[in-house]
Amino acid sequence: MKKILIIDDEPDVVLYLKTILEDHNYETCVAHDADTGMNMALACSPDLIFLDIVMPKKSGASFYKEVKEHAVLKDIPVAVISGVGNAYGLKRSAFTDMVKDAHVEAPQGFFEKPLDVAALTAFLDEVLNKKREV
Amino acid sequence: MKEKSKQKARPYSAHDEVNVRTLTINRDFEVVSANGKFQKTFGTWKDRKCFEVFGQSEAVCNRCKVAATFADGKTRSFVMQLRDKKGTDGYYRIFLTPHRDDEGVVTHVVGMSIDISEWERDIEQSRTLLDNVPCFITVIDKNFKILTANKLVRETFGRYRDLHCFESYKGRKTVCTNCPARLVFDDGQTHNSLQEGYDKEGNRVIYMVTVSPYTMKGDKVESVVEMALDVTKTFFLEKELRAVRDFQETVLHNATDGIIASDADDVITIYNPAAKEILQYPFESVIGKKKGEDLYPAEFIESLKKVSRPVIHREGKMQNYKGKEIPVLFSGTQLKKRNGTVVGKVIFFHDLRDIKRLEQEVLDAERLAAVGQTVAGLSHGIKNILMGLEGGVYVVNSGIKRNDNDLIHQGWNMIQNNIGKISAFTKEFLSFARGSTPQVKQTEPAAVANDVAALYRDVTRQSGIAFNTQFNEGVAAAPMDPEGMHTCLANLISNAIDACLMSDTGHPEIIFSLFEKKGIICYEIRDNGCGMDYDIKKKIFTNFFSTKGSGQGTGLGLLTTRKIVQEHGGTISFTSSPGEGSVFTIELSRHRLPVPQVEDKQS
Repeated sequence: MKKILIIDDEPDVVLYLKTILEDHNYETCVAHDADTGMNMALACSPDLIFLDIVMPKKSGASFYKEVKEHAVLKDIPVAVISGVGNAYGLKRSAFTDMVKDAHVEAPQGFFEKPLDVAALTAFLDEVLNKKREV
Repeated sequence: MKEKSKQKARPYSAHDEVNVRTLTINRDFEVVSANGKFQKTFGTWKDRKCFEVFGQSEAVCNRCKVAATFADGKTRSFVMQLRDKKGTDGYYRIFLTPHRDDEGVVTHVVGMSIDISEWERDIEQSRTLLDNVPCFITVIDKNFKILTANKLVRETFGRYRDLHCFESYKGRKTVCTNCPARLVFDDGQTHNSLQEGYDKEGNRVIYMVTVSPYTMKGDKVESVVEMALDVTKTFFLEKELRAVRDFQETVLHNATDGIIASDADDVITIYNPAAKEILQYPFESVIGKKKGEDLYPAEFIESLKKVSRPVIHREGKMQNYKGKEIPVLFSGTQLKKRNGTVVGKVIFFHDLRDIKRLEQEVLDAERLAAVGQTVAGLSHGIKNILMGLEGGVYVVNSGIKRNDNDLIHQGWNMIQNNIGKISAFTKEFLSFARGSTPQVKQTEPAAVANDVAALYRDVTRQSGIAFNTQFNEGVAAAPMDPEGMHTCLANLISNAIDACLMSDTGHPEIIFSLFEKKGIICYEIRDNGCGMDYDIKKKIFTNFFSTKGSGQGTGLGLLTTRKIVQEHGGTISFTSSPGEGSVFTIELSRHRLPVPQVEDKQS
């Protein structure tokens, strides 16, 4: 069973995502901030990470950069979930701006609140199955 | 004159009467006759030679004029210094006439001398006088030839002998077109004129010349005297003064700032067109009529008197002719003599009406921008709630499918929480909307701060946060909406408390201070809580969102705060570093504060 790490400070989002993922037969682990998320990523070796951008202390963008520069974690696909959404023009390029490093690749997925459950599960199938094929 | 007698000179009794000395000299320079007057002056002459009589020398004089007359037979006239019998030297005009015999040979020379010593002395004195007069004096004849010139002319212009005045004074070859001397020769009157020439070194010389008749022949002027005063320095000084004056006039005339100057008695002496444009008083009703204190506020004049240097950029109001108040920016200075005596003052004032209007436009634009951001912020808040509700519904459904009561319960809680959020959101939104018409009245800034501080003292104590206040009670009352400002400060302190709670610092502290600097009232809320990193800081004032957990914050707090601050013409800014804390500052510039709508009678 594929394992997915959810990093979000909002319990509502965590519960919602967790339920969706479990309904689709994914195993989940949860962190409520970026630093815990880093420890969890190392501890439970997830196949994919769902990441919130705006969190207290360290932001999702900073976390993302750390992961992508991490020797062990850098190949784990990351999907960004953000309420900051399209209304604020958060596109892949805007996200890399936020990461402040053009050399960091853009995240594999972008999801806005409220969540489009069908799109989300389709994305998971595609990314995780493709990975299985490789 | 052909005299035949070669004997003794005829005894002209008249000769003895007039002041003329006569003598006759033969070819051996022996005096053969002389009149009584001669003897009286020069002593005995009998059997003496002329040069012995005059005590000049023991032999015939050098270049002896008598010898010359014997030689060429011509009459001559000249001035010579002779010594009389008392040994006194005197000047004599001497006329020598040859006396011929029948064959035309000059046998005798008759001399006549007139004592002109006194004339010469007079002339000498006149010359000294002329030479010491501090102006150029020349005598010129009808042909503009210089007959005589005084020392100053000689020293200044150099050569003058045998020169025309225009050559000597100006280096010209022809008579000047504006020659005053010509006029004098024509009408015999005195004429004045300002002339320009060059001295012997080639420097310009400006002189004021007065020309008068000097000698006359009948009713014709034979020669004129030119008296000229060197005004070169004065001329250039005047020119410079005129330039300075012209410059000042131009500046005064074209300045866009009003300029008013008054004398020691505060009577207005300068009132420039810009001042008139701003104040509308007619020129004639101000200059010499009004006093400075009639036009500008007493407190500004007081501030001028207090300091010795110029006062610059003080905002104030002036009343115009129609009694309307004009906002202006004053600068000014007292005018002092070197010894410190005040001789007047000058005030510059800049019309601020345009700037005030622009400021208002900027405020309006900021307000509109705030509305736009509010809408964006609202949609973000609504999205979050929608997500919570959708999520809740999904979780409940999932719980039902899985037959998992616990999950149903969690989902239901989620729905309830978000419904609760809608309620809080609506309340805040209403308070946000309510603020659109701030109730502005004279308010003590410290009173608002104290109220807010009292509100949070218990919460902070219970949370173990040190809450310190530093209010400068001296900050004067200002027009503001006390309730609005209360909301702002409460929001910021509530945020600071959350930041402290989210951080694991050992000694959480909030410092809430109030002070004023340069007319700007500042509220500052400083915490050593979690702080914000780059990503959050970048968003905080462009998009308002909440970083707080579920059920806490709607994201409207800072939005509301900023809106209220902007309605006060103020700004809100912050600095923050992750893990170290944040400082939020509300700055309210006094001159941008709104006009009180509610008059507070007590204040």
